[in-house]
Amino acid sequence: MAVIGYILASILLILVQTAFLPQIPVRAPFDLMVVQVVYTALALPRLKGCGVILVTGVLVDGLSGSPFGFYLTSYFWLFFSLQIAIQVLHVYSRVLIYVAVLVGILLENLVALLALSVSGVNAATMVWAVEQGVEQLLWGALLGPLVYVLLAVGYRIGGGLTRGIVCQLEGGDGV
Amino acid sequence: MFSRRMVLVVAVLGLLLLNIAALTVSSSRPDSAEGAAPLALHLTAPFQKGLTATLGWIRSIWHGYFNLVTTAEENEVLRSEVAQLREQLNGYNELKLLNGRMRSLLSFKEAKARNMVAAMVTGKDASLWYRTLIIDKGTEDGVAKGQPVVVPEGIVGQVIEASGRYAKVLLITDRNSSVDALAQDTRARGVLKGGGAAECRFAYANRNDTIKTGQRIVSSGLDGVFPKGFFIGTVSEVHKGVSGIFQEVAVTPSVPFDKLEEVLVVLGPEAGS
Repeated sequence: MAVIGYILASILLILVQTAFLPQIPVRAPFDLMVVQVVYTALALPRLKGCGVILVTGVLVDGLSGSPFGFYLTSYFWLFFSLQIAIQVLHVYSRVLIYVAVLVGILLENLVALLALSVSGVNAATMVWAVEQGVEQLLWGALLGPLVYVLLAVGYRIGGGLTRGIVCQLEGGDGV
Repeated sequence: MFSRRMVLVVAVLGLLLLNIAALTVSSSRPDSAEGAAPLALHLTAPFQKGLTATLGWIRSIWHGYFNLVTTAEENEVLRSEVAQLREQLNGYNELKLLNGRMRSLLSFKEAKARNMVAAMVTGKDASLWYRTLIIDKGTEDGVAKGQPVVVPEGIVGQVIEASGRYAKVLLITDRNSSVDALAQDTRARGVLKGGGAAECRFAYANRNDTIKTGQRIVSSGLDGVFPKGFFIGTVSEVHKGVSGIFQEVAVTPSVPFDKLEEVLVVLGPEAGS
């Protein structure tokens, strides 16, 4: 059940990034899915979380013009690193969340640089990509915590609604 | 013999290397998402379409309200303009007929009529490094990989993935995009390459060719993808270095990519034309 909920949240965020924001028109200053990956890594057990990340990565890769595996790689290694960090440090602090969002953006940019260099782009494009990365990191530092809080509120509301519906079903029909 | 931790570290390193190798292969192949892309389009594109349509509807109501207020005032002014324009239209119709006769007299071949299908833009690439669109027409409507996508303002890009009812379009601003192009007046040839951001580069333009700021760049038709003579953009910057056989030319695309809502997919030359 939780896995389905998290996957639906991922799809919702994908829709926000690909359909809602371009209509305003605004381009997300950094990949909002990074925050979702951080949230999933902190909230779900390893195996369930891994499932959510795999589905999310495949969906984002399929909808994007990026080489397949670009997002899957970024999300998976961010998730994996966070799992290790939690295991070693035994902390779930706000600082960890903040750092994790920034590390996620950095990781995604490093994967982008790898993908760009493999496809044989010129030096000017690489410089542009690095500039994009720095810009994203700054936006992530500024807005990352806010997006995380909004996501957490969304999960709380969604969870409450789901529990309410389940309770009603159990009480009403005796399911 | 080996501790559990050691095995784990080796396994993780192995997975990392495998991942990098897979991503390297994937990056060098533009059609690497063959299986996953149609799946992702099937799963999310209908929701994208619904959301886009709903937002468009809300926006049209909002604009409609404000338009109504100003329409009454504009109505009077427009009525008098319509009378003048009708007069002009008569003149233009005469010129059009004359033009048609002159063309046939001079045996000018009419540009081939093309079979096109209109599509709604349902989603845009969330990535900051790649530029693609999702449209609501797919293989069921005759859309296929490699077909050019245009709007009256110019070339948008080409289809790179198509599922049954949706397709993914690579914009000309994406760095993976290339269009064989010409400077419209001087016929200087080059290849229009996406710059990743809002601008494109007119690459391989011979240093001796005359290219100036403000010149129009059109498709040459030689790449076999984009029809000849479609407008692409205007030259925004020209730089001739002290050495080298090419000049660096920046082109601003004519299409407002951020405001695209509908596009036309060129299916092919119309039968019988």
